[in-house]
Amino acid sequence: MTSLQPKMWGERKLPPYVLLLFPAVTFMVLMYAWPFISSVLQSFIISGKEGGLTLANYVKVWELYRKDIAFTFAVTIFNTFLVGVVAVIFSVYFRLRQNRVSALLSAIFKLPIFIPFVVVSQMMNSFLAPHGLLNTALAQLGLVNLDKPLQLFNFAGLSFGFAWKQIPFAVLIIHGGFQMIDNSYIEAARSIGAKLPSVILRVLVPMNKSSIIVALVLVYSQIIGTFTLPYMLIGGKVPTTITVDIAHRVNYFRDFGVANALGVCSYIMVLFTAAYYLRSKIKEARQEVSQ
Amino acid sequence: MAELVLKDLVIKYGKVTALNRLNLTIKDGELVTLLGPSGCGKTTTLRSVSGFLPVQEGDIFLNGKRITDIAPENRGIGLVFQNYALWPHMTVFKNLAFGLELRKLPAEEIKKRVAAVLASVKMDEYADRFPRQLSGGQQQRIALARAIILEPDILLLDEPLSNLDALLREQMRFEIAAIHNRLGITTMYVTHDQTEAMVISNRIVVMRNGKVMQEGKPEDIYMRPRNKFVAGFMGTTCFLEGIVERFDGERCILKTNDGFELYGIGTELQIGHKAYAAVRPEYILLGKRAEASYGSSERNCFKAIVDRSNFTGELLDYQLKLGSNFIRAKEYEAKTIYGIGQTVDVKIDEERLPIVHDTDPEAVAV
Repeated sequence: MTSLQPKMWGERKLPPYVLLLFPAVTFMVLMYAWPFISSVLQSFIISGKEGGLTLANYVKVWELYRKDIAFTFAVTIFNTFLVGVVAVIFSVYFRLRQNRVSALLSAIFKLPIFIPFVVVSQMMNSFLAPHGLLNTALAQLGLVNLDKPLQLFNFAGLSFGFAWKQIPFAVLIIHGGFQMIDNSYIEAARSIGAKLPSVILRVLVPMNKSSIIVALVLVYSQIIGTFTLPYMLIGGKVPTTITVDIAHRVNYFRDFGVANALGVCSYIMVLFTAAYYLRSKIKEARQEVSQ
Repeated sequence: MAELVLKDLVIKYGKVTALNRLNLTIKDGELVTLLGPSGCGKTTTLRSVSGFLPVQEGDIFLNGKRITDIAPENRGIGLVFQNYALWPHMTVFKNLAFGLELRKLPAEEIKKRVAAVLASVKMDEYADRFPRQLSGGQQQRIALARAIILEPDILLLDEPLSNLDALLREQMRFEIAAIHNRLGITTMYVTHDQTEAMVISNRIVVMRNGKVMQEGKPEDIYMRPRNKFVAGFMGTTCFLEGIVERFDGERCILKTNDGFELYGIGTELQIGHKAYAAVRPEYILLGKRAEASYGSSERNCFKAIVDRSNFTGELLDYQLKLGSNFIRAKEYEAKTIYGIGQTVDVKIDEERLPIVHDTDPEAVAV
């Protein structure tokens, strides 16, 4: 029979239930920590060459890809903001209006979540093309001359694609949070004279802050890591996103050093949001404990 | 000055009629309680007045102005919720200041008014706390303060004490009554707790199935219930069924199914009507106390058998068998304890014995 009493192990007391952590910790170390550490280490090693650690890969990243890093950051920030704002508007609408239109929308809005990014990329490729569906439709309405169609294989097109794919995902999380807010909080605000914008901005959004943060952090991380959409819309043109550059370094040059250095840049970009997310979760947990 | 008038209100949920041509007037400064069991329409009434529930027929007037179709945010009504509904991300100060900020009052004025209202609910030291750092009673005081800080024309309270423990509930009843007396705001109070209604109300409206069963001062509702439903809802009541045999001056004499003659008060009955004597345990004398009062009259004096007795600390609660029926009797400061199976003299106070008909299906046409 296993005793739950602490046992002597060398000079340290180690309770037997620590063993229960072993599978989970091992999995985390092998599947997440080791690849991450290995990637960081390789970013300081020049591929195919003997020698110690060097910053050469980072120098190359700075020389060749700084515009792409800025572009990736700009695309990510802009789209996270865009997705956040639109998702909050949709979620508020679903929360406050229960009618046939909202019922229909809430039934179909989830569909893009289940469409893989590669399919979305192909859809956007044909929809946003110079003679694609969007330009043709706008031309029919007399808004666009097809001899000079809208060029959307750039920041704008990428944003459209990201928004199309990510808004439903964010709505799913944010709307879930809004649903948890009892009607009485909204009615209390209205009873003291709050109009809709005040109800949304001063009651609903702050009360649902944690869901909104979770949604934004996840959207931000997903956008930074997306490869297919920028690859199929922008490809090798400059500027493009870090993920396309990483694929380029690996596929054409087998240059894992620079690819990993680019990877580290994206880790750093995600690190801030992850830290913020963890901080808010810890704060939330502390508040729950104090209640 | 604020007078609320509800005229012929009809609200239906599908095929269910929640309010059935409800008419009610709450005079300026009055505290009226809507009392009734779940589903009687009391909260529906409150929500229709607050504007959160659209009225299908009828009208609502506040100070003579029709407000039936006015949005809740424009009605000038203070609302206190059962679950307090304090915004958890705001401090107490922010919760109270929100409404004033919406009215774009200067910061200094806001500070002054928040401080004053916090003092009025004895919560001046809690301005910087978040709702989660307050007890249930404190949260309810802040909810009340939030409703009154805007000096609303009318205050609506939706079962505000039902989430509090018994002791705190009792304390808060008096506090709400005191605040109402001090501020004189016209108030509609919803509860299913008849003691709460008795303590705080100027007037009680007893409701059932979307209709008013009876309205009046608390003591009138308690002492002169109009029908079996109202009598049963107010306090502990045992009913003895019978037929109205005759009237003797102000007294109505009911002959029960067991042949007992009961003298009581029954104003809306006629000879031959089926009726019920609403026997209240606190108006029954037992044993020597009953014998001592024989001198005045032997009316309503009977022999009963003790079926059950419970000691609750402050009193002895008996269940007695009178003929084929059971009645309850409560004895405070009891010197004699009667055992189960013992025969005991019983005298029912005829001044406090309402004789009522069955629930009026048409209810009260107010």
